[in-house]
Amino acid sequence: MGRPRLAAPLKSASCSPAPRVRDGIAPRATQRVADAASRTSTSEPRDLPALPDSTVQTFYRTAALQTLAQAEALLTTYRHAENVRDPQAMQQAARWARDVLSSTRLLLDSPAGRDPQMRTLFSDLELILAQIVQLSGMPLQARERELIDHAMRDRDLLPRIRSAVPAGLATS
Amino acid sequence: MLRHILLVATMATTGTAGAWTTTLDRAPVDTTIAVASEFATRPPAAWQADDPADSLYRAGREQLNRGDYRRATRTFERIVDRYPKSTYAGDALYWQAYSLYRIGERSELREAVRLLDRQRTEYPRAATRGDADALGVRVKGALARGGDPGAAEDIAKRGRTTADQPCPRGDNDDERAEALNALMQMNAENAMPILKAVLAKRDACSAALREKAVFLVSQKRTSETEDLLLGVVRDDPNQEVRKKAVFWLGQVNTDRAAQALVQMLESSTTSSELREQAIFALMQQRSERGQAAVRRIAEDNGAPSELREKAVFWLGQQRSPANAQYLRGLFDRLANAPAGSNGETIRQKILFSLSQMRGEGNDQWLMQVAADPKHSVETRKQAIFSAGQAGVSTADLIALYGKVNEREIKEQLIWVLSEKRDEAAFTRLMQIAKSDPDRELRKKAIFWLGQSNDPRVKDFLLEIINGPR
Repeated sequence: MGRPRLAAPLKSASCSPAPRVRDGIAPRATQRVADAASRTSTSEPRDLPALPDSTVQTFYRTAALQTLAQAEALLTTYRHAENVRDPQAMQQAARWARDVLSSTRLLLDSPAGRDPQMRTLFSDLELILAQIVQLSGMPLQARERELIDHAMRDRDLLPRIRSAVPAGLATS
Repeated sequence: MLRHILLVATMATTGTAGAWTTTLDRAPVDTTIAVASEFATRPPAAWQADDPADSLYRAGREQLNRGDYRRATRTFERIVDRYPKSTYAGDALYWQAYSLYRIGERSELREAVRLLDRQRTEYPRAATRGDADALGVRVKGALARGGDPGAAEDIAKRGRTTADQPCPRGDNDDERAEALNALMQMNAENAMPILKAVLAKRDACSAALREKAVFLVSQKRTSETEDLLLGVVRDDPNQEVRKKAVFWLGQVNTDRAAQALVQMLESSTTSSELREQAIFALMQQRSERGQAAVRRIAEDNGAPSELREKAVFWLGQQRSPANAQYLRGLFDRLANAPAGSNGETIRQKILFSLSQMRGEGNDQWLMQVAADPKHSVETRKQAIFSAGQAGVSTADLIALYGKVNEREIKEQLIWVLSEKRDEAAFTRLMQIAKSDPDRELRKKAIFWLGQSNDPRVKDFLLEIINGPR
């Protein structure tokens, strides 16, 4: 079975005002959700019913794996861009890395970062991404890329991410 | 010059020619933002072999990558001290600050803030300048959590202005996300109104920030979280932001949240992606109502096949006698589905799903399916594979091999037996390789034995190659 690849989430940063559309939710469904949302009971926030620790872990672990899957796809794209010496692809990878770096840092500070194994992996990933975001695709940056490659290899980053992300994550 | 820089900045963030000119025409006159864009998008300094700091900079980066942060700090410091005019000096300050942030002690974090301030004033054109602001906020967030009142005040101020800022440019979005995160970790009560304001935004350019805000909101577990997430699901114009909200709504195990998720799941006009996310969320809530809704989807012939498969998958992820019984019952009810139909695919997903749910007698049930000739060969093969995954015994697999006649089924059993990697399995495979009347099955057994490192198997294969002694 082939490993699923996620599409690169290169976000549009267009600043033109977006039309107020509800892509995906039809009016009737939206209204139902709206009905549920409108039944706010008190003005003072109350605690939500407690969840078992295992359920909380499932959520943060799933969120962490989603980011790792993104990181895997990003690092693969980055290596490809580097191999083919494509400055544009390198720039894209750097922009994408910025988004993954931001998510990685949020996860490190969240309950997901309390898992020691995940924390180490995210910490190593953060170090690499902090360097990739600086790349602009200039040909003279070959030595910069060489340093990043060495760091990735020394830390065994891609294999560790691959073993952390179960095959089929995208479909399950 | 500024126009040119803004053009490059916009090109880098939009990627379309049409958008460059549009945004250029609307370029803000706010010089702070313009300068931030300049640094955010300027290419990092190239390696300057003739620069006296070249080898030191390289050494520093190597030390950083090895995790030798203290040594890296000293190396970068030497660059700035000895070669303040070097092209590396500005970036050395950034990496020195980054190394100190990695060390993470209070005095080191304070020094990192000082270095980043110095970079801002003395090396405003450094390539790392844009990222320095996000790093600075992160470092101050760590200091604030450690009880530094100055850093806490700065984070609070930044947080307050985050929601009011216009569309981000360059790295400004990272800085805002960092400020929200720092504020949330520092004082969740104060962060909530700001997160609320961010989530009320509707412009396309703040979608990424709203996604991050959803994540942060979900970390606080009050009814306010419930209100905010439901509001996003209902009103946010961006599908990705709504998806994130549906995901985290699963952590809100209230009737109201469950009702909203069920309604979303059951609405055929809701996008499949959101409905799939709703399945995950409902299954995590573990409410009877949610599980019943997921079961209805699994059975709904009108629902998209992928959605039904997801429902079956997640039902299988929650081990319980009721779920096992339900999935087996659904498998039987779909028995008349024609080969290649939606129902046949769902049946195979059920087999896989049951294999994931260890126990509950699933391995034996899967073996019954494998043995039953009324099922298609594909289904039986899937049942054998799934039984292997569910931990069925080698003895059961060997027994089935003797009972079935179809070559394809036997081939599947040979493969699954080889995966058991125990002595009984190897012994039986060697018997098959030696004496099964079907030559193709003998070949198959030899092939799978060849994948093993067992010394006994190696001797056996040598005997086959060289002939009996």
